[in-house]
Amino acid sequence: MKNLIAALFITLMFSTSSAFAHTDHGKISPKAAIQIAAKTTQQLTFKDFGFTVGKLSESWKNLTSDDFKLYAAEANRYVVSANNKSENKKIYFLMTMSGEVLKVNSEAKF
Amino acid sequence: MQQAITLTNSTLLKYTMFSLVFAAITLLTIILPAEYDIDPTGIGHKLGLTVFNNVQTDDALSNSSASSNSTNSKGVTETIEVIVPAGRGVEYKFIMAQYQKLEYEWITDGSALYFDLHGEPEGDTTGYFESYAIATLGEMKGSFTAPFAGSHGWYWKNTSDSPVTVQLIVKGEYSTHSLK
Repeated sequence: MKNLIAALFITLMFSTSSAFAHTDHGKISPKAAIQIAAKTTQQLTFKDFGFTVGKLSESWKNLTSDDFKLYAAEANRYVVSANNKSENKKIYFLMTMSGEVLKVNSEAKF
Repeated sequence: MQQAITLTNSTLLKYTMFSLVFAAITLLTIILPAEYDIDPTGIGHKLGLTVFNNVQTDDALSNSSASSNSTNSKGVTETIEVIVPAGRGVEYKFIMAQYQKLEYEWITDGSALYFDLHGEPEGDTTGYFESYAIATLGEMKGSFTAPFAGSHGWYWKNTSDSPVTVQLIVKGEYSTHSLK
């Protein structure tokens, strides 16, 4: 019985430490992925970062949070879409689960 | 003088069960509401623990030019462009109360700029300021919490012979912002 209690105590110690630990810094939520795409869109209207879409036109500055959607969430990457209704164009952001933007295309093919 | 403590199996089991119940109550009333916004009992909300997850999704991504003087509340992202003329420096400041927080990210369209991210206390006439970061960079991302009420922001200096535009994206708590 004492061994059982000791084992239970040790298990509790480990489970408690994980409960108090921070969320994994390496993985962002889908909501955070959308916010990163929105911020990157603003930056792409300012400067060409070498992505396929190049520097975006001024109309992309007017996008609201409703224009950004999580297009796909796979094992190790997010794809977020941005819809520019005024130009009837969509672009797609491929990013890692940690939020690093890898590619920005006008097609969701990466 | 040492005192021997003897615990029977039933007592150990009783204390273990008590610990489990206590841990379960803590999990349901404190940890889940605060960390994950899961509040099955409603106690987390009453204790104010769910506020950590109540950051609203941005309603709009607003844009401002450097000449504007606008107000903001927590949760709205603003994009500001500041032109730093060749061979000159400009200062862009946010009026913040003590302990208000600002998240920021800025990039330049050209060369790196010398900058001093600092704060000046409200009403101070001595010229005192406190620097939070000084470097020469082409981009920077971070956040700060105002240590005192006053104006907080950047002094950028352009030592090149062509103007440099800074795009500053901010999100946080402040009343107004403008060129100084």
